[in-house]
Amino acid sequence: MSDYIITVEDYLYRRVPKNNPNYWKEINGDKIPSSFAFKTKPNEDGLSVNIAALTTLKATVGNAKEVGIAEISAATPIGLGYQCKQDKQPDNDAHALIIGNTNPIGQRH
Amino acid sequence: MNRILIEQIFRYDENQMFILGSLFPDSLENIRKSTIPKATSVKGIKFYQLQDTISGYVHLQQNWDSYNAIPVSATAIETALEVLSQLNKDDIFSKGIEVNVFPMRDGGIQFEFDADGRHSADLCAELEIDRDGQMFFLQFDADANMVKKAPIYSYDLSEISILLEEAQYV
Repeated sequence: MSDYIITVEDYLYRRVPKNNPNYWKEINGDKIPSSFAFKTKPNEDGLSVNIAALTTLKATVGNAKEVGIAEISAATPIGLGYQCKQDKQPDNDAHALIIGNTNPIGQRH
Repeated sequence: MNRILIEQIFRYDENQMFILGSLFPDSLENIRKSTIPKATSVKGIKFYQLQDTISGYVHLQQNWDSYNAIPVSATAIETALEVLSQLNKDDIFSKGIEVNVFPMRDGGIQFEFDADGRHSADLCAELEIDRDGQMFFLQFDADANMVKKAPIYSYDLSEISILLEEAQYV
C-alpha cells in the first residue's frame, strides 16, 4: 500500500499530558494550551503525531496513562513550510512526523 | 512559654488577601522579618504555587509525556527557582503579566508570559531553560512569529524583567 499523503485537509493527533504536568494555562479565565508539548527535542527528526484519518482517539491514547489528545490541523505546519510525512511503525500505520524543529508550531496550535 | 499559636490569619485589605503564618507574639517581629514572608498577597500565592510546581518536576520520570521525554534536570529546576525569585523581586506578578511554568521534553523548563491587553499591552513571551541551565528569552508577535531571541545569563536575571517590560510597551 502506498504512503498516505497528508494534505491541509487532514488533522493530526498528538498525546498531551492531562494533569502531571499540567498542559493548560489560564489567561484571564481562558484556558490555553502550552507550547511545550509541540516542541521537538534536539535529537529528534520531527514531531510524532497520528494521522486522524487513519486512526482513532482511543488507538492514539493506547496504553499511555493520564494523557489527552490535541488535534492539530495539518494546515498549520504545512502553512509554515513543514513537511508532514507518514512514518509507519510496526504497530501503527497512522504514525507520521512533522519534519524538522517544530518549536514555532507550538505558538500556533 | 506564653505562646499563642494562630495557624492562619486571613485579612482582606485593598484588594489584597494577606496570609500570615504561625505567630508567636514574643518573636513576631523577627518571624515577620526573616522566617516567613511579612505578608503574602494573592501575587505571593502565585509565587508559591509556581515554586511548588517547579519543585514537583523532580518527580517526572523518563517518558513522562509518552513520547520519551527525559526527566527535568536538577540544574534546570535550580535555575528556574532562581528565575522565579528574581521575577518576584522585580514585582512581575503585579504588572498584569500571567506567568506559567512547564517542563520541557529535553529536560529543561520553560516560563510562559502572557498578557492579553485587557490590563496591559499584549504580550507573548517565553523563557526557555535547558537541562544545563542555559537560558533564552523568546518574544512572539500577535501572529506567533518570533520577533526576539536573547540569551539570558544567570548573573543578570533582572534582564528578564527588563525585556518583559520592554515587550509590554512596544
